[in-house]
Amino acid sequence: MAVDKNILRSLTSIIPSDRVVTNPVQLFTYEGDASLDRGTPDAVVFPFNVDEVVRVVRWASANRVPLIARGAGTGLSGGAVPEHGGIILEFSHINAIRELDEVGRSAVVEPGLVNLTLDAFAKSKGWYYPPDPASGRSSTLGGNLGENAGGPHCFKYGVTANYVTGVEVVMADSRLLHFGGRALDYPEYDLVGLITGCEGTLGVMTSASVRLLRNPPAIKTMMAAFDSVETAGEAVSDIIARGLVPATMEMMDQRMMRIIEDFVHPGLPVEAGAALIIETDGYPESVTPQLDEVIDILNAHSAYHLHVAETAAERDRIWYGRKSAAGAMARMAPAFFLVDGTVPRSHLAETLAGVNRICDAADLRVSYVFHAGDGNLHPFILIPDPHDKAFIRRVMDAGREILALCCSFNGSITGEHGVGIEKREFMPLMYSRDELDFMGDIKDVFDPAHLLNPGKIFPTQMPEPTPRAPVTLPPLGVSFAPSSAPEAAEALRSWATAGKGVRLRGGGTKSALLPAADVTLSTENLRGIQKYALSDLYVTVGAGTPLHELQAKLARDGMSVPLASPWADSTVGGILSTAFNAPQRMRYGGARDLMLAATVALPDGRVIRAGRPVVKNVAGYDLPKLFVGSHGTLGLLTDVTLKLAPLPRARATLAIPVGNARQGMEVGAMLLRVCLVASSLLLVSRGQQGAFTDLPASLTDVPTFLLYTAEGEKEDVAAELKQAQAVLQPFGLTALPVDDMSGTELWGAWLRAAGATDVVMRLGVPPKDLSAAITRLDRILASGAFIADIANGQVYTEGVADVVGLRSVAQSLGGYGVLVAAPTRLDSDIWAYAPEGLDLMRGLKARWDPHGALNPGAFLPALDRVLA
Amino acid sequence: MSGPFDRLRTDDYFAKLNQCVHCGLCLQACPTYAVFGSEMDSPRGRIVLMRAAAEGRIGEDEIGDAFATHITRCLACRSCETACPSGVQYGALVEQARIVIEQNREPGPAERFVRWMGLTQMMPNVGRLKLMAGAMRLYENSGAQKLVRGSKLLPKPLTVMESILPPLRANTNDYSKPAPALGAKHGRVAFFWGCIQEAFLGHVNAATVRVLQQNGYEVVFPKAQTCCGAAQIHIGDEDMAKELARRNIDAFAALNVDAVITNAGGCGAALKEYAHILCDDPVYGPKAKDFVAKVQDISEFLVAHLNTLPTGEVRVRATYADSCHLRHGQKIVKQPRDILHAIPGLQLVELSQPDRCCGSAGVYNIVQPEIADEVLEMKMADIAATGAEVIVTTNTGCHMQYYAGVRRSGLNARVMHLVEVLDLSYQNARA
Repeated sequence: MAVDKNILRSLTSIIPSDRVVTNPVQLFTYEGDASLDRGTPDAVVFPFNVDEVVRVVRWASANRVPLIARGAGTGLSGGAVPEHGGIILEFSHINAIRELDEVGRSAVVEPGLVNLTLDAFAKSKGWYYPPDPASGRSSTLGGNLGENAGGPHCFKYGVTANYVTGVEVVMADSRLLHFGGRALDYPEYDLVGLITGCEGTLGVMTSASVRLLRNPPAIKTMMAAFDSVETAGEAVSDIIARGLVPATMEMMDQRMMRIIEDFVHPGLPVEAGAALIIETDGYPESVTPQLDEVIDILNAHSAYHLHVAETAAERDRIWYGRKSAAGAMARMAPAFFLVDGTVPRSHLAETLAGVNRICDAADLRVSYVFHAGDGNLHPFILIPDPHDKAFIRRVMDAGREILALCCSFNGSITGEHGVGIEKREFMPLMYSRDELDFMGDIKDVFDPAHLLNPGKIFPTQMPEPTPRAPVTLPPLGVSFAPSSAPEAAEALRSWATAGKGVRLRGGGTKSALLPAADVTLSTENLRGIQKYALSDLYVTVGAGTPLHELQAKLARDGMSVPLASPWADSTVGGILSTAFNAPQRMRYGGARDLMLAATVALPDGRVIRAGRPVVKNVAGYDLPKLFVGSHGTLGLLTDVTLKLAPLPRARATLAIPVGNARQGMEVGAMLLRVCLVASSLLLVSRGQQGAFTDLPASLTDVPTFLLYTAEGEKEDVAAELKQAQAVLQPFGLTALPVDDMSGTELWGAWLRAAGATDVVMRLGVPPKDLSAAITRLDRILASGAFIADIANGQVYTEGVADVVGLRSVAQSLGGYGVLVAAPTRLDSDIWAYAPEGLDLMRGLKARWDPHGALNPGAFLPALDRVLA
Repeated sequence: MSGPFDRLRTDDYFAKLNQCVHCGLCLQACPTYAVFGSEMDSPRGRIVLMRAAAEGRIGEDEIGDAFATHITRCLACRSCETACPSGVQYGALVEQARIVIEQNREPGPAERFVRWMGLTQMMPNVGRLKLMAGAMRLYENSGAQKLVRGSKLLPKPLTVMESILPPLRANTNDYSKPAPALGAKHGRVAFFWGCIQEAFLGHVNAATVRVLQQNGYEVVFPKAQTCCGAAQIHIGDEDMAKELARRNIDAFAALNVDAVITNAGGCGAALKEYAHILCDDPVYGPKAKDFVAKVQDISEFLVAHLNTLPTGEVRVRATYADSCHLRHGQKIVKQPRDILHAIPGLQLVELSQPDRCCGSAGVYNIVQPEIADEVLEMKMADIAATGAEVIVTTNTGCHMQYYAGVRRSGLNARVMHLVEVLDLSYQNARA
């Protein structure tokens, strides 16, 4: 499918010819990445700026030429391989850190920026960008985002998608659009979540806003040896069961240790059956007690050769070795097939036994590294001769068997390397035809001509559709409460085809805000825990389960889902559908980060499973994120799988009375730099007529105060509060300890009281601009009361009359303002927001809900109108 | 059937190519990737090109085109080897590819003359080099240099050569008789003085000898020694390199010494390769092994035999810029730093990328001046950020390149060889 020579020549009228490579010999060097796949591009283009990228995309779109965005070509699944020819966009020259925002704890980065460069730069200023794929010393942010890269620190810190808040994307039709931004929870579908991990098939990313954390002041790294992989695995499970959250838990088997030892000599226990690398981080006061506790557990599991790295250099050596595993395999064989399956952690040992069995039966040699904390295993199957086609087929067959095994445990075919070319035929092992079609719809809406990285992700052979079991429903009337996903889907289908508008109802906490609909579907019968996997740190629960009911059950085991709601009736499904996030998201992530998987009933009668109950899953588009915050306009969540977090062992809150809001914000910005284990940092201004009175006695007469909650290990909490106190000193401020009330709890109580009597607005602005917003809103805010969530860039107002004024200031700062609660329904548009990706949102909605049946009036009015 | 690519089609060469699993971890280590940001100017890309040539995907008539362009752009700093987890012997791979290119091209008459003059007439003959250096010293001291530099009249290759000209001092080195050990005698070593080093940076050699004496070593100076052959290998002139290797092996044979000492990272790396380049030579192959066993870089030798501790203060802020051939070629990283750490008063500030090439790379700065300039510019920015007053180096090419870099960037820093700093400490101790 070579591109016509004349068309190719016209490319040089857009980009100077010295930055367009068409020499066949030079093109050889762009045929591959770190995988086994190969394909020759027609040209490689080196854009210097976003404008040039837009021009190349416009040219490609006009001439129907495939486009492949390429980072450093370190991918392991053929994601950047130009299998069908076309133009490679080489991003090595668009590689700036456009901004490092130390107030808002974020950075704006360009796609060609190398992961380690960002990491090193952030660390030099005291910040931390956690995603650290093993390829990080070469791989780029563009590639990392495209693949939703993971790394060894995901167990505690999550994957790339958890750090991306906004993207600038050139769409297939060459429009330059911005999704999300530097504020959180924009009132739009989570298109950021779709672009992240789309493997370059939905758009060409030209910049991204990423969150940064405070760099932990102390880290301890240790290694321990075990007789077998199984005993090491048991030790890992035990560590998790005790509620410990090490920064990483990495395992490798003996053969792998020998290979790595040979390269960097990090001092691995090469005589042992397996080794674990475990790291604890936090304040200096806490890392040693944390590690001691880990060591006790390891000892109880017969670990030996326990060794704690003494210096930073030694630690670097260990990681350098671990991260060189893939390359170092070449010491054994010229090629390998690297499996990237993920299973819920408790199935690790079983899966490993299965991998050994499969490889033995096929007479293949295999060695392992794996991210034991998150169930992501990396068996390397050695290929002695990459030209031996028959052998490669045998390897791929074994790979398929291994991944089928992972899928049988509810795992994923790829945890962090992506599907690309390599694993596309394995997609049906994991997804049904309905699910693949659903992903295909997204591709069609974003890139109708299939010009962006064509051929990736989707299998060339689609599986047969699974026949749907017939569902019989009672007469539906005007309301129905299904007790299963198929029932829900069937009810939605029948109502939709009858032209009804369906109100989805959880706990009914939003009912007062929404217009009447023809019929109501309630989740009240989709209630209760379906699967409680404590050692895998997830719970699957019916969407209609009230949050407090779930929390009560989890608390018995010292666990929780880190979600919160002001209202007792709030259901898990409702909170996720509305992406209703509490201040504690700064510590635990938001709804989009916590929902790993969901079962979704679609208004055409299909039931799909989005995501899987594993922390790492990059197989296809990240569908769970699409449903979080879509306000039930795309489908009904019937059950959801949530990440668990151990209840903090310690928690403490400081209240800091301040003179006024301006001083509060000034001090707050300083405190934000301290936040490492903080779970909220609020500025509370009670105004004249605030409904909220439920305050600790010491604060009843304080009109304006900061509230700082830290939680986690007790040493960390104590150290952090000490640092916070030190910030206050120069201001002459004194903190009052507050018992029994965290910032998130105060926020909940405040919202409950405020919403009962007044109109409550939520403004979202980039955290760096929160102070400016409050200054500019000074006069408007004076008419009511407010809480500012400093870390998350949110302002909740009560009884502030000038809604238009609030919004216009928020919007002028790149944010938004929406209505959160009110005693009665208002006629105005409660969103007043026009996302840049609106036509894409409408396109998606039209695909899955062509009758416009789902939750009319519950989200942006433009989503209703398109279907009328 | 024989063809120009034959030396890339051996089992051994394919085995070396196969070692690369194209993981890409070498990219950021490569100075030319930093300049061009393109795959074909990265180690991985060049290996793809070498493989393409070996597999017959590049025609014999295409050798001189893109293949030659990208292979010759390589600085051969071997930084990628250190970064490579797979143990790819990149240096050995690219050396063969360069020979193929060299054997299949027709340099123009001017280039032929300069090469013939430089690589066969001057470098192997340190006497002629010294004569030239004397003339250059006159040029510097007479004020002609100022005129020439102001006039911008020189053609590009000469401008580069002129720009790296160090401030020359009169060479008073006396190699007519052995230099005695000072204090208790610990042994006897032979000194390899190099060609350019001796002619243009003779004071470095003088300091080297003094430092060895100071540590209790008698130093002998075999007269028949010649240029190491590194530059000849670097541009693909294998025959000349072999000839020089044989002469050196003969020159240092039958000396009763503990070690053959060199103070130039590039020369040391080349000397240590003699067994490799002469492996097919039935007579000199075994001799080369004996010779190589004795070759040691001065820092390597001193760390093991620092019999006189440096006690004199050298109160400066210094940075150490690794010589690629010392660091990546000879894997000597820690030793020079250990010596610097041992010097009282000296504050050693590491570069952010200490292993990044300076752009000198043998004769690279003369044959690829534009790229070398960009590489040097990045290096000088890194050096400037350390605030160092002294740039410590361990190789002739780097030493001269830094003179040019310091002058061009206007940095207020002195360039010194490691042994000069150590020598200064010994002097200060006596003072």
